[in-house]
Amino acid sequence: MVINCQSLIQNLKINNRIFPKQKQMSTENSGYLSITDILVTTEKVPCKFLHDLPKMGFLDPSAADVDLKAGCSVEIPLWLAESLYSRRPPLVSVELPKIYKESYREILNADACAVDLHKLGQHFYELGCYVAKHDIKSEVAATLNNTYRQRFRMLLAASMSSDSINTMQPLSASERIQAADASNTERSFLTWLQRGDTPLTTANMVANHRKRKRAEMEML
Amino acid sequence: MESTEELQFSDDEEEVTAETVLKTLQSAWQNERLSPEILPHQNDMVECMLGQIQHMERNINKLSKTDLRTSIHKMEISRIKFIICNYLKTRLNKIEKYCIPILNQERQRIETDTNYLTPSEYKYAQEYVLNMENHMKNVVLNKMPGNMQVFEMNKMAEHPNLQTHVFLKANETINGVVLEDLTGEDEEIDLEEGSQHILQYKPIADLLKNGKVTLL
Amino acid sequence: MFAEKVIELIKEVDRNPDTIDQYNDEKIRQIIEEMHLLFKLNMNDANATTENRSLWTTVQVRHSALERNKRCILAYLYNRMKKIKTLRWEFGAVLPPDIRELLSDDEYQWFSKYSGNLALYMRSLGQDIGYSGIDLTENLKPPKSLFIEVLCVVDYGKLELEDGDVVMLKKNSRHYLPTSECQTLIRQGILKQIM
Repeated sequence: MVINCQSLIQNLKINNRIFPKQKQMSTENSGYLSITDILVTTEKVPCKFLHDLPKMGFLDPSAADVDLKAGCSVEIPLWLAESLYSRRPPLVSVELPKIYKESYREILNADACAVDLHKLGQHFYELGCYVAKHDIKSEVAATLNNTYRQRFRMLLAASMSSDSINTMQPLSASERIQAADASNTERSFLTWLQRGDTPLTTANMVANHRKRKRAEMEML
Repeated sequence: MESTEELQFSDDEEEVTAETVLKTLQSAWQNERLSPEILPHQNDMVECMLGQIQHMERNINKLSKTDLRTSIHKMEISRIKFIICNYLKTRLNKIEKYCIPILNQERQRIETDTNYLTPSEYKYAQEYVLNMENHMKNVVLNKMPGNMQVFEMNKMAEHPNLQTHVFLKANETINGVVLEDLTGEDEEIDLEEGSQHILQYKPIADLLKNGKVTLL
Repeated sequence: MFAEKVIELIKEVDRNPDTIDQYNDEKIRQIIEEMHLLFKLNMNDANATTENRSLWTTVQVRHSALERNKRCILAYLYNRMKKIKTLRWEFGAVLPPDIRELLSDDEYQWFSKYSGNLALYMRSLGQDIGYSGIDLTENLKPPKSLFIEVLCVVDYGKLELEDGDVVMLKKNSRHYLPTSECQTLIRQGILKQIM
């Protein structure tokens, strides 16, 4: 039960996030100092340049020119795309990365569990929230929501399995974290049921530093 | 042998109060752990309970080491201590995490005498932010190009997610709680006394602070 | 050259969420150098915008890169600060030398200030009623029993208990101790609870 409730809350949290049309995203992961958000905004998105950019030719690895000409399409990191898009007038138009395009949306809507988000979209949901506004048909938001709903059961199964979560599951980065959290909750709940107690243990960082030291010693 | 009267931890009337205090503290602890934002402090309860512990510790010292009551009371003390420590630590974690917005709001609250932090917590938060700012300035900001050196307080601020969902129980019947729909349409619901719900935190934040609901 | 180096720093933090790495002085220096270069290019081009209007957009793009570098460096520092805080709670106010080495001098100074501020706060608890403060790094788990059986993992030496008794903590020795007095040692990995 504990795990169901926790995951349910997680699920609801995600649902809130997936409607960027009405609401500004306001989750803990989108902050200025957030490592996750920095990694998400490092992902590349295809963009079409609407104006000339002198001396910026290096942004397009396939072009040899010093200048970047209006009209060319280049994949640039999301942070740069967002900043260029927000200029008045916008300097680029942002296109959808392939996993959010119609052909993939069809696959996702048909059977989201079949898609390996570990390979195709480490930050599937987070990046999706950013690019949803560039989708003319505004179907991306619904797809994100739908995908999570379909994959929820798979997440639940992943968190119940005794195998280490990192090894095999085709999960995105945030799904992995959720599954690991749920699995930890489940485990401590079971220990508590058995003993009504949790033993005192070595602090996390202390233990990990010791492990690392041992590993380093073995390497020598 | 000391007389039992001397060993009585408190007279009946006080006993009831100590129990109520512990209950209030327990629910404050529970709410603090489950709410995304910092709640008004309960320093009176904490101090009262600390006084109680002191009282109990003094009485235990009068007992012999092997007296059964010693271990029972010691157990009780360590349980209460755990609750107090965990409660204060939970608050401290939030104060550190959301230090910038908390300090901004707290400055206004102090003016109207509705402060959420205790004076010690407030001092701690101020010192914490100052240390963070100085560290970042000394290590990197001062070495960056001129227009990049500012410590941008507003950008740095991390905010609690008030849109998160919480489990709650209504302590009394509350009519007309307005829930904001995702499409922007409002919905009104009534919470019956003793009923339990899963709702977004934001619309019930004030009810929690008034003690009308408890988080579960 | 375009705010890419700084991502290596960020990935460093992301890779080992449960341990702290050596402070990367060299990379920070390189990134700040990149920022100065971008800034210089921008100063030159900004002066030339009167002749070539479209240079202005180039200046703006570089400015974005400067902002990006700044954000990432600060995030790197901030996330290390979070880990350093954890060190204070888990290892205590005195860091083992091999851990201390991983911090820069400035970070160690920050650690000391954090630790001092925390100590000040903890001492203030209950001061009004004549209480001498509470150590919040203790009492971490709800207590189930007053005494627990523990195994000593390292040669620690003498431990004086509250009641005046002295226990000798030797490697592989077993003891039956008051829970409240061995919590910290368990957290620091010196004792292990036997179930």
